[in-house]
Amino acid sequence: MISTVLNTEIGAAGGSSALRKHKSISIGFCLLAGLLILGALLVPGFVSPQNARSILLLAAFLGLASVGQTLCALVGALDLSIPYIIGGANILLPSLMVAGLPAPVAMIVVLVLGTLVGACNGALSFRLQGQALIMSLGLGFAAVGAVQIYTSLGSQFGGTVFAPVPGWLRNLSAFNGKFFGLPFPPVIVIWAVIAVALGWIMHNTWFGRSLYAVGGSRTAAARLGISEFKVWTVIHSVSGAMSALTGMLLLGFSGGGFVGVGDPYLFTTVAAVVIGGTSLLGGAGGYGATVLGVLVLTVLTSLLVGLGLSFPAQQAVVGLLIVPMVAIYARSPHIRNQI
Amino acid sequence: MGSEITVRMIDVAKAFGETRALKKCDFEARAGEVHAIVGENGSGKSTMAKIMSGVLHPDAGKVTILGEKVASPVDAKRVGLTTIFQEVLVADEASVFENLYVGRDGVFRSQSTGDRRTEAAEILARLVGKSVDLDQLAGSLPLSIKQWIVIARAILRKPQVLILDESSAALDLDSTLRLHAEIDRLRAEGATILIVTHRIAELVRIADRATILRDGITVGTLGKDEITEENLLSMMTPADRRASDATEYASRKKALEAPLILTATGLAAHRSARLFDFDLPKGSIVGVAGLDGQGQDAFIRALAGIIQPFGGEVKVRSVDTDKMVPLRSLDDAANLGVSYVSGDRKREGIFPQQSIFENLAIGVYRKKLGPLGVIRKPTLKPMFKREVDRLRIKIGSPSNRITSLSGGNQQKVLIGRAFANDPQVILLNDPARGVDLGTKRDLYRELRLFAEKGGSVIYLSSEIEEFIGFADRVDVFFGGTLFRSLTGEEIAEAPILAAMFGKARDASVDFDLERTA
Repeated sequence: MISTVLNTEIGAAGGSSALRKHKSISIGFCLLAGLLILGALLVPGFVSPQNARSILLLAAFLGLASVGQTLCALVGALDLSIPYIIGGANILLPSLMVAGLPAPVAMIVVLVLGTLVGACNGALSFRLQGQALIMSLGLGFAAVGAVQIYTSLGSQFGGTVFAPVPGWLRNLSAFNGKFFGLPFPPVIVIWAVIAVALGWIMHNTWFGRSLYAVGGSRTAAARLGISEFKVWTVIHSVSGAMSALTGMLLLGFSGGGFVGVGDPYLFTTVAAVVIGGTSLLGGAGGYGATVLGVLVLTVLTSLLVGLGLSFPAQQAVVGLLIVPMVAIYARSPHIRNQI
Repeated sequence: MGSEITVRMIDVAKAFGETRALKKCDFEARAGEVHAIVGENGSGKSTMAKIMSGVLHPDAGKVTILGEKVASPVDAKRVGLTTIFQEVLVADEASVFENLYVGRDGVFRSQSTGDRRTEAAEILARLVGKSVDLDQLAGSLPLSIKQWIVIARAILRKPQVLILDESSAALDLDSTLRLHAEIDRLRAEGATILIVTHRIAELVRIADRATILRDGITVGTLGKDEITEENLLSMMTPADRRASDATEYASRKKALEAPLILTATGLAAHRSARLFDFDLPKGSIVGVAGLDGQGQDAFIRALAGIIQPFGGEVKVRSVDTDKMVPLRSLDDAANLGVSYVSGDRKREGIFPQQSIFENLAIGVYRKKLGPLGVIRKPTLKPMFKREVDRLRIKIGSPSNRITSLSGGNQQKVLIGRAFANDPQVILLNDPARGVDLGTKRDLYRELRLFAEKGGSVIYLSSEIEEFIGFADRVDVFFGGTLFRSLTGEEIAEAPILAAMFGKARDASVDFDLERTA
């Protein structure tokens, strides 16, 4: 009889949640630190206040756009309308201002419209579950198409809209923007405040906990009287609002409206969520993780640009980063470990 | 007999985070024997079974199955070991036939379908007691048949070692007898059958030997003649615990004369069923029994506000106004203090990615909300501690995932969730499914205490022995309606069984429980 000693030490079935959280967060930090070191070694001027400012600025846009994606991922949904709402907001705001609306009023109108599109998206996605992906994509298309029809009415505008952007909006999100005299644009502060608030909300409010509950087990959540429909509608509304906000802030950044400005966010919002460690199947993760994912993604892009890689090469590298990330922690635990 | 040793475990230990599921486990089983593994919830039975099947790897110690080491479930099957797990793992979207042979075909070789169909039909007919259509979708079948599919799947592999992990938990009496016949057949062919169970009565009848686990340690192995209820209990439960449980509960007929707290009128489980009324006196424990699918499940769900009954009305006495208020939804149930505990903890109970604390506390968040839906967390810690102590839940750290607990302890957390709301009525839908005796006793004691303090309990169970000495009244369902209410001395095995089979009150029921040797 052959007997062999089994002395393996693996953290199988249901290790402590703290440990898992640490795992995904420490992977994120290691990646970030690794990228920063690489950048410092390979790219002259990588570690400089200017570069830090530009990285944080770009991260802020991505971070704001990823708020909705994170919330959706937590219940197992994906919002693919984000890039279109960003693009739509980016051209609707200047054309409303050209039409004579004062900037603050125009911004509120855009924000409300973004929220409404999100709400429709959430309600319809929930009712037609299984088709949620194509639903959000379809509504995004419809919204951005409608905005372009509006902007081209009686004007030479279409996908590109020029309008004088007020100085304060420029200051909010331009490279050389100032936050109460400090040398960085206020949008970074806006992002930080939203991130902290959201992190707190997710852990300390009924809304936050019911989101995790729905993501973890729909039936068990229903037994507790949590309305899945409400949760879906609310998070998609938040996603719509945040996308509209991002679109408007990007106007201050670029100075002119362009409908395609949101396009990169289709991939990057999902990538930031996955790299951060939030499961696309729902129930685990959070916005803190996404913040890490956003930073990793932005620093990586900055590094690749600094190394002189072309845009296609950057795309290839960022795309490939997803593979190990999914392999490491975005998978669902094996069925035997769920038992 | 006395033949070769097929399974051997020496000094095996296994921990999940802080929870040490197995501390020191020594075990031996031979070919041609039925060997039982017994222990309370969280004593490590399931972990032991999973280590043998290669699902889990031990932290320390040696494991040999049929002379080989087993590193994965696939490995185990290659060696000749098959496990029937506690969970009913059936693909609902596939046919019965596909479910039976799932994972059996290699890429290039497969047995002829014709042979398989005959073999499958034969074995299912033997197990279920009637023929089953092999082309039906498994999802359309009741739980009890799904359970048979899982068992048949294992037997079709012709295992040399078969592990049954609480597999008879959802089977009724008749089915248990058929399962035993099947086990006898396998034993005669020289297979080793390991039964992981808490049903002591079953063990007395069928096991050749029994190994007892307590707190992750194998405390001993009993031979055929030593397997008695007393021996098993005394080895499973620590002595101090037995003493405290010794007090028998007095008959509480009075409870049934108290004012009603819940009434249901004109209910029916389905369209063609006879209408019935139901009432629940304050401070009483009413048991609900019935064979699989007689409407009792729909009934208790309707009381909880989960589903709408076909007509009729459920009313509950409001705490504030002392008037009977209709209960039509989950929200009504929550407002009226009606809590529901499901026995199907995996599907409608736990949140697998969340902590133990979160899983228990989430039931009360709604009552602890400040402005803007902010949860007042400081109040929750004492509540959590109270429930954990009260139900004697074995946990490591409260921040560990709920899935680090054994099945029985997960169930206790869910019962704690229901208790934490300070309900006036608690509805339990087969909560003790797959739960051992010690845990059940903890549960009965707590429900008794709850009832003595004025709480009311409706307790649905598939195991009738649970009601005896516990329920004040037992309502038996048959044919989609409340068939008979039993009280006092009628709460005994024979009258309950008779009612479950729809027999008249005086008809004698003769169930031969003894195995014909």
